Amino acid sequence: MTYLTIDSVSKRFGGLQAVANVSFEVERGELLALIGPNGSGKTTLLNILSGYYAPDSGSISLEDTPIHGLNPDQVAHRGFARMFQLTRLFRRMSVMDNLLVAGYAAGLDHGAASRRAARIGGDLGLAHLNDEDAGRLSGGQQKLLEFGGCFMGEPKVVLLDEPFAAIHPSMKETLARYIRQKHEEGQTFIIVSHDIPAVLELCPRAVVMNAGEVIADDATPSVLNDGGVIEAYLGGTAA
Amino acid sequence: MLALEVTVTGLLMGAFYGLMAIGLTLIFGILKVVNFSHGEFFMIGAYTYTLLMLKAGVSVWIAVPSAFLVGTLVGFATERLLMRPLYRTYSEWGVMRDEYAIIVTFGLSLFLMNLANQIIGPYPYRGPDLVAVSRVEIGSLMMSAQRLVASLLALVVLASAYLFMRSSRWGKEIQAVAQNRLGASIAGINTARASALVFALSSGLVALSGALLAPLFHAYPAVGVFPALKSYVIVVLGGMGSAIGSIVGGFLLGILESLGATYISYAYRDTFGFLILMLVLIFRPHGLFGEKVREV
Amino acid sequence: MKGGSRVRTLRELRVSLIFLAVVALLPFVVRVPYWLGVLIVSMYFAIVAAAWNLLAGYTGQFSLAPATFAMIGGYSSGLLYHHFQISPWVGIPVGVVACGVIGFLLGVVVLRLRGPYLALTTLSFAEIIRLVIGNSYTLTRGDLGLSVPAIFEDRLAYYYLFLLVLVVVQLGLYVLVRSRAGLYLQAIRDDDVAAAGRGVNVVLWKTASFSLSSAICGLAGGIYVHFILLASPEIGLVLETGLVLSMAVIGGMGTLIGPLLGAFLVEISSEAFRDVGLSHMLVFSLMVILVGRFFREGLWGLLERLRDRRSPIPHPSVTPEEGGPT
Repeated sequence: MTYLTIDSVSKRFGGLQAVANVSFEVERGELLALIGPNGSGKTTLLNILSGYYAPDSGSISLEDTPIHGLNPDQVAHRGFARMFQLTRLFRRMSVMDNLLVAGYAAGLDHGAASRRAARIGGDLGLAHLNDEDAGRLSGGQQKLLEFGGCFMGEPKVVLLDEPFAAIHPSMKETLARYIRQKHEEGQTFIIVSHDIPAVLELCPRAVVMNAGEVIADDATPSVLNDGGVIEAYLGGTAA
Repeated sequence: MLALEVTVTGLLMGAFYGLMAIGLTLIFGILKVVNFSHGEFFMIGAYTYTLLMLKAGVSVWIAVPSAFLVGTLVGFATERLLMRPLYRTYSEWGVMRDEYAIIVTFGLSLFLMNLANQIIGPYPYRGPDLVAVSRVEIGSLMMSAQRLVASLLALVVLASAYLFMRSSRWGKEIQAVAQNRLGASIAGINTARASALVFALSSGLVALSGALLAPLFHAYPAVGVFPALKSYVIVVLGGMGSAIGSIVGGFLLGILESLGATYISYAYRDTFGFLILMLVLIFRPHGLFGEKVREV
Repeated sequence: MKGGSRVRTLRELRVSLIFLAVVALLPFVVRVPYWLGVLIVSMYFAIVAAAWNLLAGYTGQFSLAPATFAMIGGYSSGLLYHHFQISPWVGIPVGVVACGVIGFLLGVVVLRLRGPYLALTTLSFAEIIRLVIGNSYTLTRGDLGLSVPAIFEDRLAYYYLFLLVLVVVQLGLYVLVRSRAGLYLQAIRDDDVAAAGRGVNVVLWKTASFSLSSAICGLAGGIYVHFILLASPEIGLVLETGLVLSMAVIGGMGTLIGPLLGAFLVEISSEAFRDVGLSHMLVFSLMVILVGRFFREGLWGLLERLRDRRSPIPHPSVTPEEGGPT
């Protein structure tokens, strides 16, 4: 049984076919990159995976249980966690409370949630900010916080949307290190990113989308050398 | 010919409604917020017109444009003083623009109403008629000349405003800012001026409708409350930010209310608009013609 | 703000309870029935403002219908007595339940709405209900209002009943805000998209908040009509909602103590203004504008800032405090 199966998923918004017949499978513990030019449907696919949109057709299964069409909170309980392209946090709540919400919603009691939050906060260098309102953190710290929140519920699959965009290189390093460490522990990741060097370094496999379709799905170095992929990025038929 | 009369009544009111509502929708288009003090600009127009004519003995030709002018000035001042925080993304209120707008404009609404109450007094002033003739006969219909003239005037103003928005340079700048504030500023458009202009123009238009309707609704501190509520309904029907939508919506509401008042219940005539608004928003959370904003 | 949200909320509760203790002792000093009445009305508004604050300040749902639910609560009890001679002691709880149910339904209706659309829909709801009540002469005696019996003979009894309710509401809100439910509500306020992504059942908690908030408004209204001996559509005027909003905003939205401070401040100073001949609403609406424009955190926020400036708190430490949420 494959861990995560995406089968012939399509989504149309009015006149725009955002996602067209996308299929691929993800094994447990994979670190997969989802790349493609702007407008290729990556974020829409992520939104469908995490329950914000229902696909027009096709199915998505996690460990053979269909999850397409569920609400985002139901999908979260099934084991998905995600980061958004534009950082989404609970700005008027403290750093600790931001993490606790995710922990409580995942069913942890206060003790377990606090311990896990303290550990994640410590690992990401946010511990000294525990009582600060999240809105007061710097942009990079906010991103780290949102990232950290993903792990409170011990998710099966973590979806990251542009995690490396617009942050300080040292924070990028913290993020990458954490991802690598988690990956070694068996965490499954799907990472959407424009940062090709980071993707090359972190992710053994890459799925490339363009104009809503999957145009390549292979080991990352091969994918990046693929003629079709290069054309898509440099001026082919971007959506 | 009851049906015809009802429809015509509805259309006449519709012209006023369109004039009332167009300002509200323009403000939403450019600032993305609902102005809850909208009705009080109506009140300002009603008072300006009425008091100028009654107390200062000024003629209609001056009183009506003055109402527009005063509305414009107050609108401009409001925008300059209160609407600034809406532009900055990371102000104190940055993440809660909606909250800010509701609180501040609601507060402004109460303030202006009470200011009028304090300074002018609570007693209604009967707005002088626009024209001396009281009734006019067109075909088989008898109608108030008053309303007819006012409606025609409203239509003319509406048409001018619409053309201004579509064709003039300022109108195009406003549209650009409404669609993409950042992009417009990069293109060199003075977005602050565009916002100020829209707010001023919108306030002027609704003040004008207050003046034109003063003979009918009179002038008193809370006179703008119902027109504001109607405007909200119209703007939701026609689509927030759509000028033509508010014009169409205005006529639609005018006719629906007229039909409802005549054939269903006169006492509940004001509830129809609200029911329509609720029903529309339940099934289409962004209004009948509103654009679906991508949230995620 | 220094100290973290946990410490802040506890501080807000402590000051609230001290404030309410003072209110409890006031009747020994204040004997004039008129001023006792002013304090009673303040408490009525404090309860409604607290309920609205739960919905708007803590859950982010800007409803313009709190006064409407107070009115519904009042009419529930009033109508049951008027038509069926049912005692207010049964009528008031029935009103609370009715408001809870109607509030829940309203919450369902506005689930997908945000910001101005939410406000406009709740405003429409408020006006429809008010107009229906005002026009149903045979049922409700319309705009004349419904005569309603007293439940106590002594003004002091009303005073302490309202105070009891207010204290219970304050404590209840404290427990709620500090619980995981409270965290969920605030998460929904701050970003309901992200909240759903973290597994929070947004539908459940939004509607629950609507329901609870409406029920509390209904309770306040239910008792209130038996104090003023009249159930009238005027209780549900948008103007009254405006008053409630003003109180919560001026006092400090999103805090436990803001609505309490705001209600008393606004009500008591209205009386002072009345003597001077100045419209109290004029002053308060101006204050609302100024608070909105310059002091988002309201009076309480201002007081906190002054406090922080005088005795700066050292930077918060790492360890989470004991006695966390239940």
